[in-house]
Amino acid sequence: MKKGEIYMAVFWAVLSIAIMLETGVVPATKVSIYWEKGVGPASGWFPFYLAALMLICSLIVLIPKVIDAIKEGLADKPFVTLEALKEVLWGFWPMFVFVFTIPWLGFYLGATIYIIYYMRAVGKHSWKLSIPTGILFNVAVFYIFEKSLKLTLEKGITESLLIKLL
Amino acid sequence: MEGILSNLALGFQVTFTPFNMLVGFLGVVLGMIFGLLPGLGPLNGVAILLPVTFVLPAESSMIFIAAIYYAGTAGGAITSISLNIPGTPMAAATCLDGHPMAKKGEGALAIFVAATASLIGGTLACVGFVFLAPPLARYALAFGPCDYFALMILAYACFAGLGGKSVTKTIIMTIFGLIVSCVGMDVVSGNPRVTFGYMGFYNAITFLTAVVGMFGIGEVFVTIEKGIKAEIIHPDVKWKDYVQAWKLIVKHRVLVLSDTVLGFLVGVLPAAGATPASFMSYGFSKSFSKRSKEWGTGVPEGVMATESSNHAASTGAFVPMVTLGIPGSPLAAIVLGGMLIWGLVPGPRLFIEQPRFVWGLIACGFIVNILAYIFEVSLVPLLMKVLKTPFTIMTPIIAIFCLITGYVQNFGMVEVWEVLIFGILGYFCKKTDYPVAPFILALVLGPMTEYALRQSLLQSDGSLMIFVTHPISLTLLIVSIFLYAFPITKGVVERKRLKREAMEAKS
Repeated sequence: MKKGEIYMAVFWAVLSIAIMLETGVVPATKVSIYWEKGVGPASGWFPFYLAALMLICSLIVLIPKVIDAIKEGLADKPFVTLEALKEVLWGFWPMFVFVFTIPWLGFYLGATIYIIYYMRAVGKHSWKLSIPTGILFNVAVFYIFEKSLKLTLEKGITESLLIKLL
Repeated sequence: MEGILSNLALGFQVTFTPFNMLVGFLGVVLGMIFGLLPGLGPLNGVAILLPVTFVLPAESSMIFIAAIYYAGTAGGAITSISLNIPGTPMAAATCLDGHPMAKKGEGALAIFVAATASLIGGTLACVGFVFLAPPLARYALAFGPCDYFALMILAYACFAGLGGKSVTKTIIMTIFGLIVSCVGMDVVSGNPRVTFGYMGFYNAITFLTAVVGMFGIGEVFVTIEKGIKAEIIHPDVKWKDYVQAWKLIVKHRVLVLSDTVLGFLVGVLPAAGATPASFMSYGFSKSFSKRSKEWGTGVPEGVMATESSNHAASTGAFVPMVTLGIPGSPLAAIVLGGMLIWGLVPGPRLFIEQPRFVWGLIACGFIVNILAYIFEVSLVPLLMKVLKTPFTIMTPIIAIFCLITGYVQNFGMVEVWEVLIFGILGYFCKKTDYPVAPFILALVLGPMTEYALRQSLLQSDGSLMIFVTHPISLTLLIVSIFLYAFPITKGVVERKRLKREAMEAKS
């Protein structure tokens, strides 16, 4: 757990430094972080000082953890067990692939494949359950979003086919 | 009194249209499902389904959300009782006596007692709402910008006092939320800021992408990792249990009433919410019970105490949200964000400008409680089937809903990726004990906080003394400082005590 704690605190510290640089220093993106006459605090004032405060807080979390780690070493129970990590990654990567292919496959085809794949590969459900769930869910989403709510989702290569159904 | 009655009549008039009742019923069904599924609660239900409401009129949206909220809270108890895993965090205390009851074969009775206690707690809390909210709103009308700023600091401070384990982590998450709310165009000057030069950030990061990412996808990862494998105890439903439950409630009416009041008051306090309320009520009633030693072995009083209290608290949490614009629980923070999108500005003026909405909300509290009760007690066997839905079916479905929510924000892929990134971040925050609720609260209140701060500073020409010289803001700030300092001092005292004990143990 110690490693996870340290990584997370470092993440916050780096993020706050990045935000401070972004709002106050880097010429391409910087905005005024000072008090301006008649306007009050300028646009960058609030985020800049918040980021500074966040940096202080992350150091408050980080420093004792680092001292602790130097004294007693990092060996302790892991952040996640290997087995749990495997499960999480199995849950994550199909989601990632799904999002990545949305512009190409569109929501509907992608989501159908995603549900069927996930139910088969991770859930070990039968084809008989997986295929109808995947298809019915997407038909329902299509009718709710496209027909009733008039919200058009990305359709990718299925555009010409699905447009006929509307 | 007469004013209240005529207002309530208006509220019921708003609620009792066929369309709104249908929406309410749908909300109850969906809320119940979210409440039942272990790992997901009404909080996730509201977060994931909030986008659906943007096509409904404001009153119907409110009814839908309130229905998910109440039914989800009620449904969580069933999971606690038959699985010993809280269906929702606020039903965690119900496990203590509910599951032992189920083991003794009194599962059905426990579920009915829970449902009845929820009905009473929820309904009485609505009555409390009617009497407390209007005066509070009138009082808050006199608030100036500096008072508002102090009030928001108080809201953040409440999460520090009662939320996670570490105050510093709570503060980090609050600040992070405030910073994320700054991304995009500055409303005052129109300058783009915190965009890192990336065009996708010019549209600001909407609160919904963060909410569905952290509470939807993040929660899914946490649940996958835990891998829920538990034995379900099937209750044997007998009709006489319905009657028996009412008899028990009548017998312990003092307990139910006092826990309702306690729960309501804890709920009204910003940030406290239903989970601490139910644990407090459990402890409170246990210490006053004649047979306090038997608590934990399956006494119906334990279920009664927690369920009446958590429902009362869920309602109480709406009081500061509607009157002051400060949510009383993480869930109320999400609803607050929704209200802003529905075009409503929470705060004291809401009572004057949107009486239909406010009183409709109060009236639907009554109706939804009754709907949830009827639904729960009449369909227990069916609900047990929902409980068995494998998480491997729910995972992709929830994920897809969350990602669609991201997409429809702006009809572009930027927000879809944002949802995914917030999901991963939410998972890591959960793993390292960084509380997510203060982040959401800060993200929702961020623009208002900054605006109030800039206005006050402009008024005082840059002097921070303005917060000290105004009595209301001074009081609120002192309370906030106390709330931030309290857990820190408590922690220091605790550590000293532990050290001393360790020393004594050595010698």
